[in-house]
Amino acid sequence: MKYFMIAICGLKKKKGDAAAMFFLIVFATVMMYTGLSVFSNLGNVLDEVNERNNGADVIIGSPCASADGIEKTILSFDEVEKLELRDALYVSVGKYRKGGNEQQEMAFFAESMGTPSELFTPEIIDKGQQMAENAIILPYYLHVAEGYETGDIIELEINHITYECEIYGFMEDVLFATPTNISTFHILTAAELYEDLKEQMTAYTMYRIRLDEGADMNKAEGDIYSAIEKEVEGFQQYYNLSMNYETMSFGDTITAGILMAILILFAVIILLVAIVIICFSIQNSLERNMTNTGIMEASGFTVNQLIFCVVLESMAVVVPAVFCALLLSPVLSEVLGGIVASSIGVRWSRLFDIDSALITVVTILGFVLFATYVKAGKYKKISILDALRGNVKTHNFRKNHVALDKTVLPVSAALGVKGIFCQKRKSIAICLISIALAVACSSGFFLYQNFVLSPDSLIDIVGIERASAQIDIPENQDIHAIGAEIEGIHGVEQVNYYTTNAMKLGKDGVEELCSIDYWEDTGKIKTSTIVEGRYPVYDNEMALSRPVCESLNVKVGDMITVSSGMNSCEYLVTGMTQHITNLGKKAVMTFEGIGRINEAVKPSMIMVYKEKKADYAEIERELINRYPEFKVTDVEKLIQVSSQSISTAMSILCIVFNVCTVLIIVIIMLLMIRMKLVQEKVRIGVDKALGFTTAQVIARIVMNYVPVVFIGSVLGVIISYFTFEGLVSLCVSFCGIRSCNMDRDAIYMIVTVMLITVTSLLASFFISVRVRKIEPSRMIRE
Amino acid sequence: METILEAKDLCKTFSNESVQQHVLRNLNFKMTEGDYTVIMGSSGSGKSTLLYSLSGIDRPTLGTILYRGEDITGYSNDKLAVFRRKNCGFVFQQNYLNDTMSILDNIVVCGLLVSRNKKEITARAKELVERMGLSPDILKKFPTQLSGGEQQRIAMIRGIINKPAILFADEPTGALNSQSAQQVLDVLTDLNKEGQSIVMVTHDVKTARRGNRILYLRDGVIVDELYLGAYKKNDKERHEKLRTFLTEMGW
Repeated sequence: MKYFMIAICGLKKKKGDAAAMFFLIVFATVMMYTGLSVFSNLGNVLDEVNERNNGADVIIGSPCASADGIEKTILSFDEVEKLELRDALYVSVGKYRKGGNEQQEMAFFAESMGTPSELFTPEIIDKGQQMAENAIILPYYLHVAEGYETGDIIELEINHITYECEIYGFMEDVLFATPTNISTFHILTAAELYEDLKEQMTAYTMYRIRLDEGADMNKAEGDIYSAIEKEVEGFQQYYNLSMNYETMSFGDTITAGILMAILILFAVIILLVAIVIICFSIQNSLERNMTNTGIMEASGFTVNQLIFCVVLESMAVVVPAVFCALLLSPVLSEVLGGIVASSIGVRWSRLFDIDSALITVVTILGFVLFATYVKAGKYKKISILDALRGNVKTHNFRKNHVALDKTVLPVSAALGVKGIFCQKRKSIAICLISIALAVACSSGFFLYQNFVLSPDSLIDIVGIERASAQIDIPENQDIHAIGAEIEGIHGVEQVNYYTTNAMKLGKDGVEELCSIDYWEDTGKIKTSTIVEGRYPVYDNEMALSRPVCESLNVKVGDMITVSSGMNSCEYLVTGMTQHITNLGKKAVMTFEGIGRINEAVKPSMIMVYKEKKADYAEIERELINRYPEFKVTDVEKLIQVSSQSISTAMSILCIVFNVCTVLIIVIIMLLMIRMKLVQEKVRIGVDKALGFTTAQVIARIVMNYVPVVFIGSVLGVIISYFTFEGLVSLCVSFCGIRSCNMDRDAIYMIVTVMLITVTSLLASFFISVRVRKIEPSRMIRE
Repeated sequence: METILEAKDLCKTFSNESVQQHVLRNLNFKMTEGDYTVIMGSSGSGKSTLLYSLSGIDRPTLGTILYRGEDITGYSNDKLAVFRRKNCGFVFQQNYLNDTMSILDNIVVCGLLVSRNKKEITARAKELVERMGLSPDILKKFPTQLSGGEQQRIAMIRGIINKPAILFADEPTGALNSQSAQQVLDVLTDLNKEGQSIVMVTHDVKTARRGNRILYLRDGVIVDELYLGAYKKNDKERHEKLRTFLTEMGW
């Protein structure tokens, strides 16, 4: 009890320090807990959704008419527990909007609510009262990220036919959760609407497969798909869909996972700042209460008992702060829920996660306890007599920094800079904190620059081809003739021919199903994802992404086997690529190359590239006028929609980092200057008596800290400049990305330095104004 | 001789919640140039309060203070600070030297408040150090490396670096041993002989007899004063005169 009383008495003397510590610990706890709980539960939440939906493990979608053949092939696999066939419709370019809003584009998969399903039974969220004939159930993503509500009318435009649909509710489907993960919306429609859509959309059969428990979904998908290719004639010539729950759910968590990792990192920075402040506070308390300490020791208190009191003092602030923060978390979950839901496309339903809370509590309390104990150990070095005499300070007599007779600085500035050297440890600590804050702040700006303002770097990392438009050409058309016509359109720089499907790649007995992009002319590719070697040019060449190279254990210059149906051929690996699409797993070939084993693979899309200053709207109008029957996709808009959630999240991160930086700078200035005014009030009073004006004293105090903050922030932005790319690469390294080019404009570095320096200047100025209250006569008398 | 400092109907009251303490009561004071005025009185009589009010460190509650005929009572805090740096020098009981600055810096810092000519200020500092009987090497040292007497002499150098019109000394020998006290008093006497006006507060008779005018304070009022004339060493008559005066005052 006596220790507790001593601790509370100690706290009463430093209410400001305690308040600052409390605030910082609350902040660090909230961020760490939030980051950990979301990060660790992302997978669980998606698993729960899929279980509620009774979702399939593997889905294959194909317009191929040989449904029996495909069904038979699938059922021939032992690990297939259940298979369900369902009719579906697909369109690669569908436009949608609400009211007078701008039209967006996306591919759509539609199924009828009238057809019962066992392997997909989603809950309808915000279910409408009555289902109209034009009722539609949209992905939950559209509700949380784009503001669609039940009862709204959404306009669907497919092949220039507009369908007005009434939103009946929303559903969660992990495999089609967000456009970032897959550029396709999965919708359910009323039976009547489905019949109408049949006229404009391509008929597909969805094969939903449930595997035995413990089966490798990825492998199963690859094996089943390859088997279908081999055994079902004509299957390869279609645009088929193939995905498995494991891969898609993992891809779904990428954005949120990266964001939460960044949040946890920032929490650690704030925790370190809090610990530095705790150390300052203990040091200050030690000096101020030295005589009392001497009296206590003389009275019989041991050093360990005194250390215990100091530790108890810190814990008396930190423990309530941690638990207050955790109590706040259910409230914050509401806010957080919306943000996380928009990035993973399902409802975030975690109120409180005990494991994350425990880790957070142990981490924060552990760090603080350790730091406090180490710092309080200073009591062991001070004798009772020294304590009674108040003799703590030792001064370094070796150097007189910034000698007044030699410096060119005005006297107040010179005294201020002198003070920086006299309090070296504090200055170093403030410098380190400024470095950390500058790194966080400038990184936030760089994230904003690269993922929001000019997302070229994002596009490069993701690996989306920078075409202006993509036109789907049906099989029976002369694609090259159409391409030649398009090239003649005013404003069109070039066209390229493209398609994609999946093939099996193998090397030394190791096989992998891999998505392959086929190009007529790889020299025309605008988004280069090549990091080693080059794109394939000849028919015996191909490029592989890094994860594929690693799983097949190949490098540039090796030969690998590509299999299609009964045919296979060897290809030289000429280049290695890196990108996020398809979780980093892709290959690139020419049509000539795939023609060696499968001549049925032909270009199905024309990529149109406009000239720099050309107007896309005019080109699009011309394309639609000339080819009303073809689907024209605005690729730039598609990229925008797909990267929407990332952009929003990065904007929020940038704001959070900047606001936190400003707040932390203000808190630190408040603590430091208040401490200084208490420690040096007699000195300040004497200086005023000797003739220093209030402005000169304030200038001296400001110069004690602002230059250090400035230097720290400059160092921080330089560090950030050189480490930002590495940080981003680390965040996306699971996709095989080892290096990436990020824009880091100097203006953001300058803004960061200015933000931190000006904040510290203003904060130190306004806090130092308290100097006016120091009366010289009272100080001299004390 | 010109009246350099004058106080008229000076009052100073300290308030602490509902309790008021009238420390100075309608006090009148005059000082001419070259005076060495010593303020004495029992503890709590208002000596230091009078000193700080006259020097502009503290604001009187009522009354006026005139410096060379100019009323400084209404000056703002910053204007008073400027007034003090140009016209006043201070020697406190605690020398208040800055431990983190060298001796030279401690002296020069006050000089730089008035003049930007660092060479001139540094030269004057070195000259004054020699005059005070201190080694020039002392300028590179730090205050904690000096004895009490040396520190107080440095504080005095700091106080006169700008050639102030008046040097205010508050118990300058209060924290010193007798030998150091003697050194400090000799310096003050020498300065006064050169024309430096000094106002000193003390409760020590030996210190007081250096002054040429003694003011006795009781309950915030100057009850009497004594003129002693110029100081001479071993002047027994001077000492007796002072003793008699103080005894009459109830010392």
